[in-house]
Amino acid sequence: MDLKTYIESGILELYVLGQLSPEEEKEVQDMQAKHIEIQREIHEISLSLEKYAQLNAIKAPAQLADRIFENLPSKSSGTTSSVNNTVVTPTKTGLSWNTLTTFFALLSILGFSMYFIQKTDHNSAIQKYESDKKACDSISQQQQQLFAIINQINDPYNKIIDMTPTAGYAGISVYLHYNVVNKKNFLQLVNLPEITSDQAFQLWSLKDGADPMPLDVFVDNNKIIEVAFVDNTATYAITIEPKGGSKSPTLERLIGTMGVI
Amino acid sequence: MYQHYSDALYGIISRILKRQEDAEEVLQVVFLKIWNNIDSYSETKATLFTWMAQIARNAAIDRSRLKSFEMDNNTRSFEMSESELKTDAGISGIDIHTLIKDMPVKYRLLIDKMFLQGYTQQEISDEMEIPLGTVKTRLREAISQLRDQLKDEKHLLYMLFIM
Repeated sequence: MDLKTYIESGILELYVLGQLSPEEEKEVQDMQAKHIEIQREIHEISLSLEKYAQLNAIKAPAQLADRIFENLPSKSSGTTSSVNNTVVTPTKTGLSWNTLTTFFALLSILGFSMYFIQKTDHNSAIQKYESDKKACDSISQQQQQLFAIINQINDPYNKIIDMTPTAGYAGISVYLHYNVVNKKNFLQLVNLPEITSDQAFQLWSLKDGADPMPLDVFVDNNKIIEVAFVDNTATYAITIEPKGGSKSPTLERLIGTMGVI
Repeated sequence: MYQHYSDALYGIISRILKRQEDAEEVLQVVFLKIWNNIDSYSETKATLFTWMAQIARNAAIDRSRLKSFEMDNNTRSFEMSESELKTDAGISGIDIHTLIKDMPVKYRLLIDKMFLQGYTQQEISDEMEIPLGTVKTRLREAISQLRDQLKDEKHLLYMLFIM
């Protein structure tokens, strides 16, 4: 959902009215931390409702203030005894109790928000570390795969065999990187025919006097992939099979062969 | 803080609790709660007034539930009718209807009920006979209109606040 739709959904109004579930509330707070527009919108909504409440204010009975301040527990010891009078009629000299209260309230708000900001920073740093670590891990995995391919290609025993396409597949190009010493095979898929989503390519090992042995099934193209190496294979072949592969090759869909002997 | 906010909070409480003694008692409770919990208030989450208004609404609704339970009557009674709202004047003596004169009554009622009286979305849906899913968007429209109106009346409001 884009920001505009999110803002216009009315969720921020419900947030200011305190009518969201704890999960939704958390979501809005996360969005607010991320997007200045949302922060600004929430602030505007809050201010307009505050003004509305001020417009709808009803004068609280004057003697109520006395009772309220009488009943407030003291937060610091020894300052409450003569508080009552100063509360309702703040003196003009020195700091009134009211001013002090406001001051300490503001101070604690400031302290708390600083703590909150630092905590948010800390959490986002941890999150960033986690996601960077994931990215690093996946890059190093890719790198290992690439190293394996480069090692194979640079190996003195590596042989590159150009696939011989069958009549219907002229122009199709695949190279087999074949290494009989370390017994590894890589297929360099340069240009394979288009297949449908319910089809796949399959590699086969062909030996004299034996049935074709089904090997790797893949849908990649323009890529180098490692595939099975089978001892004493005379020829490797690639066919198009139903998705998931077959037990015996569909010879009408034989793309080409790579003879290794 | 008391001087600046008590009347606005008392306005909210008095709309939920009609009896003056109840409203006064709850205002006391509310300031005690604010006093005790000011450390848990976070500026990054809500404005100070939003936070205080929430405490006021909840405390007043709790009290009204308690009362209706005592009276063996489980439904909250909302006595503020449309006609009452029309004659309702704010503390300043300026009729707020002249301030937000162009706002449709249905929007004013919605804000009054949800913001000043603490109706839930479900209660609004039942009472105003609008689908539950519409309450959220209707509220958005209502508050947007309020914001526009207040923008136009900025100079008047300014006068009101310095009074």
